[in-house]
Amino acid sequence: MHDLSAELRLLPPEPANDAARPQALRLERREILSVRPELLFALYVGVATLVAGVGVLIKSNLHRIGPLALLSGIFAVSALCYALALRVRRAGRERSLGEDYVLLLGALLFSTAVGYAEVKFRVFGRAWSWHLLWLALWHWGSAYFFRSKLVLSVALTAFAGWLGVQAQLGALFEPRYRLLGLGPRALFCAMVFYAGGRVHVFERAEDGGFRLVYLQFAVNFGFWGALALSADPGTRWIGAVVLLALAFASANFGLNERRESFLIYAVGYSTIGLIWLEVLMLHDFALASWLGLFTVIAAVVLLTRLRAYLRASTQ
Amino acid sequence: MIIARPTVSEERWLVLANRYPALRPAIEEAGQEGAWKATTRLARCLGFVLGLLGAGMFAGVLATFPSPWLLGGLVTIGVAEWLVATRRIFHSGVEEALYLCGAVAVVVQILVWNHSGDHEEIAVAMIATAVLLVGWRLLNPLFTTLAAAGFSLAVSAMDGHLFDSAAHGVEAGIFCAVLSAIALTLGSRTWQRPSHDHMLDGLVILMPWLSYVWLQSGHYYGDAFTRHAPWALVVTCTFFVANLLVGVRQRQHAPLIAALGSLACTIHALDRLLSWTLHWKMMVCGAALLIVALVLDRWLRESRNGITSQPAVEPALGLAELAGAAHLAPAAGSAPPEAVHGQGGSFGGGGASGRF
Repeated sequence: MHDLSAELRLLPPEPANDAARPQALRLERREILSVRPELLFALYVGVATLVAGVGVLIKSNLHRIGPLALLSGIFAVSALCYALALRVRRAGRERSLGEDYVLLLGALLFSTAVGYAEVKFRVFGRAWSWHLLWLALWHWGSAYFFRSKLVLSVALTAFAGWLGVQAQLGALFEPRYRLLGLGPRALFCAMVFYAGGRVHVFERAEDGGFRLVYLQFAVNFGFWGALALSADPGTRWIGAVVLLALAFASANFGLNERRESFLIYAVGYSTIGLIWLEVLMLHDFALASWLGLFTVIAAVVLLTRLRAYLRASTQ
Repeated sequence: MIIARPTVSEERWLVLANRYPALRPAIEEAGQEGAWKATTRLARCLGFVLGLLGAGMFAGVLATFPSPWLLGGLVTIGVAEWLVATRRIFHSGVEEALYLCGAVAVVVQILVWNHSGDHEEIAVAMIATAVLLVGWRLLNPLFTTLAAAGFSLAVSAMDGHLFDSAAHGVEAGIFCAVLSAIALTLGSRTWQRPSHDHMLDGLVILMPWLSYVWLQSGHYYGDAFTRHAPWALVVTCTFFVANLLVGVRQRQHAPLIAALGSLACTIHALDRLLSWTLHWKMMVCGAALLIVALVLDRWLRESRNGITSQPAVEPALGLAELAGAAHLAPAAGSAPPEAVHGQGGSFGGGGASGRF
């Protein structure tokens, strides 16, 4: 173990420090220990294992258990989870970490049940993917009702799923036609999410931080769409332009809002995209390697400069 | 020889500034960090990726050169040293990736020259030593922990070949268990350098889990599972209890995280004693873990002997949490088949993908 309380005591007494220093001193002297990260990990693994177990149950017992019995069971557990969140809401208090994950479990079980019902009963027929839109709307409504960022993430991912967008490397090379390929669909998703973020432009941080959730999804889907456009020979240049424009916008936002993650996205995605383009377009291995090396050096310099600028602006 | 790296005092101030962002302006004003520039975890990850990309591109440039591994390795180590010595960067990710790639490349060149194909354990041990030296040089706990894992792999391959038998799985398991016990004991002492403490933390977290994996490795090679499985269970249960006690008593995170890993290993070991089907095992384990975590979260809402489930510092937007939730959410899929046959296809996450 190590103890940095000696250094903390050396800090000059200032009003800005006085609020944070006593808590930091207690943490360093091990008078308190927050087990929140461990609990968070356990809750996530618990939810993931439980939901995956339900998935395996459905897959391996499609014929043995009646669909109504299965659906009733899953919906009942999901309803219990929602009921717990409802009880907390009625009590007028904030959900704890555990209660947040119970709500997430409810949302995921609901998705599982709806997905199973769609496969079994073909409610939407050929337009089967519409169930994802309805799921997205349900999760979106419940995210606002319960003020849950985790459920909002589920809603946004379900919406992207309805549009056929998934952030997987293999999906970038899908042989679909250009105008409705992964790139334009991911960019459309990004625009919708950005619009969602704009709605919350005057949101206070304590209101749940929905704006940042929207923007995080928007920037990631946007970059993913630009990378997908770059992968297609027909839209390669459009992809490159979109990639650089997004990198500029993301870096600008990061600097203005003092959010380092957006700087990281800007530098990271644009570097990977540019190297990818260089490898795809140059057939000379050595030349592509040289260009790639210079791109990485430029990215490191840019990242250092941007971070220095960010630090200077926050002081 | 003077090695350019932060002094003990400078490192302590750097860690302090990183740990408490609210106090960072005051710490920087105090000016005790020297000229060293530290970075955040996210930027460090990107720096590491960029370093790996740079090393890869440089490897491409040197492809036609004679002895490219040695040349490339020495140049990347030189660049990393230059970055540390002149730019004064500490844990930025870039120099760590360059140093790691360079050191491994030099060792690979030596191995290529020696043609030591019949003694894979020596090759693994040499690479692990290189990683250990880089970890020690850059004060990187991840590298030292990876090096320890590499040494355990070398012990397991004492008969000269990797992964083709489990003859020395027990020895590797004992090696990891001993290392873990030593790290747990030493971790209770007060260390001046935070990075040394974190190196021990890495061993405390990874080694019990690795010990269990090695002790159980006979099963994966079709050997008699019954011979070593009870010992694996005993070892993992012992580490679970020991880590939990040390973590709670000394209020340290690493033993508690290790206890979680040991718990997973214990469940895996007990799993073989039960004849339940996979989905029941998953659902029962998931539900049990969820309920225990919920009860603990509720019980520790008020601090109990200083242990609490409330955040220690103001929680930021949890990017990992959002990504995790999104990963479990219904994904895009293809149209469901005309008739449901109950087999084939895929199913995962929220399961609303239409891919049953």
